[in-house]
Amino acid sequence: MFQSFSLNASAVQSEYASDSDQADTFQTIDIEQLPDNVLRKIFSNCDYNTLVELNVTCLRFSRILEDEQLWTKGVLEELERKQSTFKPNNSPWQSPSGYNPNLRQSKDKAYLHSFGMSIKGPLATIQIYDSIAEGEKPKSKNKNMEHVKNICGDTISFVFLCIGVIAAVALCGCGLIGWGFALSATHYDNRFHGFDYWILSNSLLSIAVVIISVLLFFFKISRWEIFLMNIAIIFLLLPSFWVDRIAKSTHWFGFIPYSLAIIGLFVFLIYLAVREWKLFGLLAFCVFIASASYILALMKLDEIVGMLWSVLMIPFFVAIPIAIPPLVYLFDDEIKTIFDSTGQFVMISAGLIILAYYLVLIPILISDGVLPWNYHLSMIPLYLAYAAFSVFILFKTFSRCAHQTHAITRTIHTIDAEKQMSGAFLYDAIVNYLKEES
Amino acid sequence: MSETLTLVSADGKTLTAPKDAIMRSAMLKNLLEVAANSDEQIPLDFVHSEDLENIIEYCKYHVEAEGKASEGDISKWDGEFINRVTQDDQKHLRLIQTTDQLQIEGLFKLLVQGIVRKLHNKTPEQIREKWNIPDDLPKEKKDEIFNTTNWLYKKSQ
Repeated sequence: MFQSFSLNASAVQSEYASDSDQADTFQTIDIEQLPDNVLRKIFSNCDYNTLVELNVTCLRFSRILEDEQLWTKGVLEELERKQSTFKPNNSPWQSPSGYNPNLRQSKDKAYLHSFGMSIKGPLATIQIYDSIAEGEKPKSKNKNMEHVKNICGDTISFVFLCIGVIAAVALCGCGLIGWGFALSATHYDNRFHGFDYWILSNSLLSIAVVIISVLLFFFKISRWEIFLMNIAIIFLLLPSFWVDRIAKSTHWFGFIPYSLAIIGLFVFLIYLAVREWKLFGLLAFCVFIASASYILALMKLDEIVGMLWSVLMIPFFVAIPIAIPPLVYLFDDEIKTIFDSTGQFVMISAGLIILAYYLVLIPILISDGVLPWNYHLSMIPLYLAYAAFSVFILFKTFSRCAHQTHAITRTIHTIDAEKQMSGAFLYDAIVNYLKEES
Repeated sequence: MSETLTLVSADGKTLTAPKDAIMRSAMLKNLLEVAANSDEQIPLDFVHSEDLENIIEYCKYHVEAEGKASEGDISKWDGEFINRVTQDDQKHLRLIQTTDQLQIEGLFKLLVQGIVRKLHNKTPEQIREKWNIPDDLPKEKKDEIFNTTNWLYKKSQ
């Protein structure tokens, strides 16, 4: 019986060393002399990276590794390992792009395809996973981040942006100084001389707003709504004092652009009230009210009404420069982080300066009897609205510049968040896919 | 006293081992179940005597330790045993081959893990050098694999 077994065993052994000398085989055995089934068992215990290395080691290993089951096992183990390295911290299932990872199956593949790759095999899934792990940006819907990244990569664009911002800031500065001259001239000189300063100042500010608007629009930093809003402000700024002069000559034609701007802002206000009531809606509302009061005053319909408008609106407008930072801080997550640094300081400082400027100036002007209550008081809200808008737009520009400066860091953070989310989620997606395929 | 059996290695060495230990081999277990007469010597002409000694040592320990030693102790012993018997790569492979034929599952797993450890973090060149493997993979095939997995190599650069 044992003899026959011995023969059988010899037959088994022939698989290992068919023609070679048995004694030699005992002394010198190489890994490639092991039968396929043993190698397969060894390989099935290897991790994914080792499998990849073995795949290019020799022809026989490569042939054995063509077995899909080995790869699938290796891939799944690798995915588990990678999954364990992803450590979602705050909210693992909260996608920055708003994707709800709880939606499974049907959306899994769609989400994977959003990475610009189709799943052709386990290898591809690992590739996707590693591309995320290495920080490659998936083709998400976050175009803004992509855009910022592109801007940073384009030095000329960035220089252009800087020049534009500097020019806009300079013009704004000149415009604000011009306001001071205008007030001074109105006070000490004559009113029409003062109006020249007003026109000059507001023209400078208008050009600054144009530059900022173009920059914001050109770099697609702001949305088209903001661009339109800036244009509406220009309508308000530039022709207002021309209109004022025209109005004094009782020429109704001068009111057309001004009225159009008011109507535009009113429509815009409704739009923002529905969609973006948080911050822009408030500002648009302020400008609308201020402009309305100004119109009322210009039209001299009723001095009491105009004054009431002004008195009611002054606290509102005075509050704007101070209200913007906390409002933005509370509602706008995107620039919240920027406010945390220098932006908040700049914004609050600017707001306080403007507030102090007007709080000190208005009583002086009124006490001197130079400023007629009905007219100049009604204009003050508008000045404040201009100031608030100017500061706001400047702030937006500054904050966007800060955004550019910190773009790489922010991009990394965003991708990190995306990675954490997608890493945790992607694992499930791939496993589901593999299960489906098997 | 437990029954013992006599095993004869390929190089003619005769070794005795408790039947319980021998039964750890699925192949020998099947054989013994159908063979009534166990007085005869069992010729294992595909097993080197050195490997047979190691296998008997492993099986004896596990039979004796079963139910007596803790899992930690058994693991520790396994580790020391594997480290000792797998120092030589050639002998390691030969033992794997023998264990596979004798169908000793536990020992086979340990030996495979030892090989896996030796392959881990090795480049294809190092694997070839270590195990005397010819570089016979066609260049086209290599390029194809590299193209598919270049991200991995890029990462390691």
